[in-house]
Amino acid sequence: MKERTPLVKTIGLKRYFYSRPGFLARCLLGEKERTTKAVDGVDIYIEEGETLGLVGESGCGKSTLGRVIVGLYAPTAGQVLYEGKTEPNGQMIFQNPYASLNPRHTVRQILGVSLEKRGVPLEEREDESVKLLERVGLTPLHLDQYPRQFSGGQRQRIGVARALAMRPRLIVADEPVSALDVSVQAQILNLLEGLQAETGVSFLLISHDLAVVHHASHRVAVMYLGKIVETAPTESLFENPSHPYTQALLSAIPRLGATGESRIRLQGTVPSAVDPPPGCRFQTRCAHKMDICAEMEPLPVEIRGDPGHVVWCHLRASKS
Amino acid sequence: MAAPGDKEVLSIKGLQVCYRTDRGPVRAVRGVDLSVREGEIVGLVGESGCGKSATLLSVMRLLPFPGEIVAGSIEVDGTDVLALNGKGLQALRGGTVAMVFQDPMSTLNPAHQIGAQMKEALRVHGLPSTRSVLVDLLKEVGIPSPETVLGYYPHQLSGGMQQRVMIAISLSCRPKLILADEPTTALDVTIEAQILDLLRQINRDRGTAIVLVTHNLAVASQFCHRIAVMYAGQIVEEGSVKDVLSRPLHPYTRGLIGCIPRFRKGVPLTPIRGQVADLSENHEGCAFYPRCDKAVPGCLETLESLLDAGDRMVRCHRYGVPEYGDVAAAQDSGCS
Amino acid sequence: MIRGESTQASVRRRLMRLRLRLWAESAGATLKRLGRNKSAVAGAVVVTAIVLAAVLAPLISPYSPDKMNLNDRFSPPGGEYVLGADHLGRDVLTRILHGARVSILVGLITVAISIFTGGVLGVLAGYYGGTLDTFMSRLTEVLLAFPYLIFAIGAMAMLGPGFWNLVWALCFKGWVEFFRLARAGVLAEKTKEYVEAAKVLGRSDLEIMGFEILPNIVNPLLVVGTLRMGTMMVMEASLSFLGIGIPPRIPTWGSMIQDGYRFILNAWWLSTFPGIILVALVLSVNLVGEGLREVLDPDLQTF
Repeated sequence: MKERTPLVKTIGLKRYFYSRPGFLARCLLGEKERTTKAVDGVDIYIEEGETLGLVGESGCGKSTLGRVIVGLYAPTAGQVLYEGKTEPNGQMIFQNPYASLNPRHTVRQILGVSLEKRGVPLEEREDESVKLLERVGLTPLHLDQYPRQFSGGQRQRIGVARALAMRPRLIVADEPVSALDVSVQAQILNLLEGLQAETGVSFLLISHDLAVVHHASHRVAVMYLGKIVETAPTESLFENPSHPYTQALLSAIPRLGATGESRIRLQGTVPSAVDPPPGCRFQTRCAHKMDICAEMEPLPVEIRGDPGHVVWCHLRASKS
Repeated sequence: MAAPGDKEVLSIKGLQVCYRTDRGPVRAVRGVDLSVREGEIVGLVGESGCGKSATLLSVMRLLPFPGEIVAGSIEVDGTDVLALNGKGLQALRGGTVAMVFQDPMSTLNPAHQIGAQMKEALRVHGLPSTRSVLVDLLKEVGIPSPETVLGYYPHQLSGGMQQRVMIAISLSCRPKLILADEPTTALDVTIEAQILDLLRQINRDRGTAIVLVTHNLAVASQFCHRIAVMYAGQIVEEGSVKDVLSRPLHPYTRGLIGCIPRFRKGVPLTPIRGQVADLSENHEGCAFYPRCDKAVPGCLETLESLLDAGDRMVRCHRYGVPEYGDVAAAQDSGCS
Repeated sequence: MIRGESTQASVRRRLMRLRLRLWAESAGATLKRLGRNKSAVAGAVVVTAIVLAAVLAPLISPYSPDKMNLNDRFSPPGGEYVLGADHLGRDVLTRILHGARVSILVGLITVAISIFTGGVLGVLAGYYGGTLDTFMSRLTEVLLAFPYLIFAIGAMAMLGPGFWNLVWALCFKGWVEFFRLARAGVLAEKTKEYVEAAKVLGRSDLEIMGFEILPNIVNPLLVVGTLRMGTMMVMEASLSFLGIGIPPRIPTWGSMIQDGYRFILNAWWLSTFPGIILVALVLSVNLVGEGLREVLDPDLQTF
């Protein structure tokens, strides 16, 4: 167990969404209230200066988890602690560079809001904005342009500058490069890496792209239907994936130069997070399903000889 | 994978596509030659705006307004596509050539049941559309309990299943060629793998040629026999997947490969500098010039034609210049 | 040190100049795009001319609007009276010029009040949702169930004729459309990532509604506002035509058409000229509105 307090820690974090069908739908179609358990009991931590990669397929709750951590959503249960305190203190970089900047605001206005919230006096904001722009690879000439005048990659740089202006200790990056062209993706990933080396900021990197996560993360957490199923230092996770889901996920990645013939095939699709199955969430698609998997939720097991590599799977529990 | 035959299914020569916008012409495709043989899987790879989708849509004559084919010829299975109209086009679209799009949710009509939509596709081409035919088609694309699925509406299926239905519809007329435009981009990795398997199996079992448009080099590397890398409306390098990806010759191909994280710790990414070329500008010489490390002033003067580099074609002024080869050799172990 | 400061100042000046140029260029580009739309330009010219004429009415009109000259009753157009004289011998041109003031004021004031009320309520309902939204939405549906003119007639019957009564009667339902537009706009915008970004930065709800969302939904409100100005003018004319709008002593186009209507077979000019000018103004306002829509719609806008 860790001695010092990590920068950010979540304790039993849950976030449910309730949908209440309309009066007619309830009376005539007999539809019931539904609970989507987007995040259902997550304990993760992020160290100072560390990048934690969060991977999973669409609908697994990874974006919701990121948004709870920066305080966009209030948790249904559990806590997010920033160095032991509950006030949210993280910034966010968004997936869609076209929707994440207000189309009616110039770059100056966009950065100005961040600087104002940080308490930078009015007369210093211009200089500060110029510094920020230069840091993310843009020039002062861009200060009075509107988002539509920029390419996707440049917009994402502005988004990074906006987050940076708050001098955050943690930045939650929600699919920061998945909407960008390959050549531009690398530029942004290198930018984030450079920022971390310079300022010691921590990242929660949310991505469905395992190659990106492998490249940029120190540790990785794999999420499935609202729960973390495996977490480990990056190398250890990619070399020795221990949860059947992680194994399938890793073998499904198209890799440059590999033939792709020898892969584990997952059957079926991701079940919905509305009323997930009791017991292990992955049992419906798991090739190693046992009786116990349907009965109780697996407890975390640390892989022997691999510190920090934890897996939530009955199969592992029975082995060790 | 099925061994490609000799017969040419698709032949594109000197294709030029222009979008006449209010702000002047955008030359989306600037002279593309592409040939696809029977049973072959060819990847068209490139970033957004490189003209890969416009090339594909031209084959179907489906370019959206104000796009226009201004030069070149397209032949599918010996038929001149540009000379077709009315009935001929109808026989081509969804008949000889089928298309699979990126977003199955928006290509399936949300108001009609799956069965009805499949029936319609068969009816248009004058084929029998009995229930058993439909069930067989759905079975072939690996849909569990096809009888039930026929009565479903699109929203009742997951993205992967919808894409399977689209593929079933595209198979219904036994096409010679399937054009797949980013068919797995909207899907999760585990589902992507399933769909690519399905397409590969169709290629193997039926000998259907496939043109896959993708921005994902890794997908192309696992799925295609041959790839053509496109930049700014032109093919800059074309050859077998193995040759092109393990020993890229064009600086752009090399750059692209350098941009992809490779599951090896400590290998830094080497991005291509700058932005993707703007096609509304007129490119006299090489459009990659402003982003190229190997460029010399001569690159801007004239446009290089595709050079024969033995195992592939490459469009670069610097190819054949002595030090160029050394650089290529240094990159040799590029990816494997 | 001093040298350093002066360089900094000069950099700042250069930046300022550049900024001004950029701003001027973008404003110029907007105007240029509007200018390329021929019908919008024509509309703007007509509207400007009529507004100018209305403002300057007391100075440029040849007579006083109330001056009767019974000897000149039904003088045809072209003679001493350019557009003829009415059944009381009043100059039609003069009365049209003065009537323009009423039409334009009614249009401007009702639309301004409607945009403000509808906009504010719509933004609040759309942003907060919940009971407020449900209540407001049902209320607007009820109001929409009544035809506008019938509704206004009812309201005027209760309030009695008068300029402000007319304005209130028109606004009573006029805000509904703007409410729905604003609400729909907010619903579409509030899920976008830039709103989330503003929340993460710690902007208050008021700041988000006013500074982030409002600039993105205000254009459709303005465009529809311009178009509705025409509707409001027609409504005023209709009500005045029915004799329940503006009191008869104030000249308005509606009441002029009504007065002349009785003599249409003998003196066509009494109703025709106010009718033509009404159609011309409403049409021109609509043309300007359409032009604005094309220029301001960010989806159509490309640089």
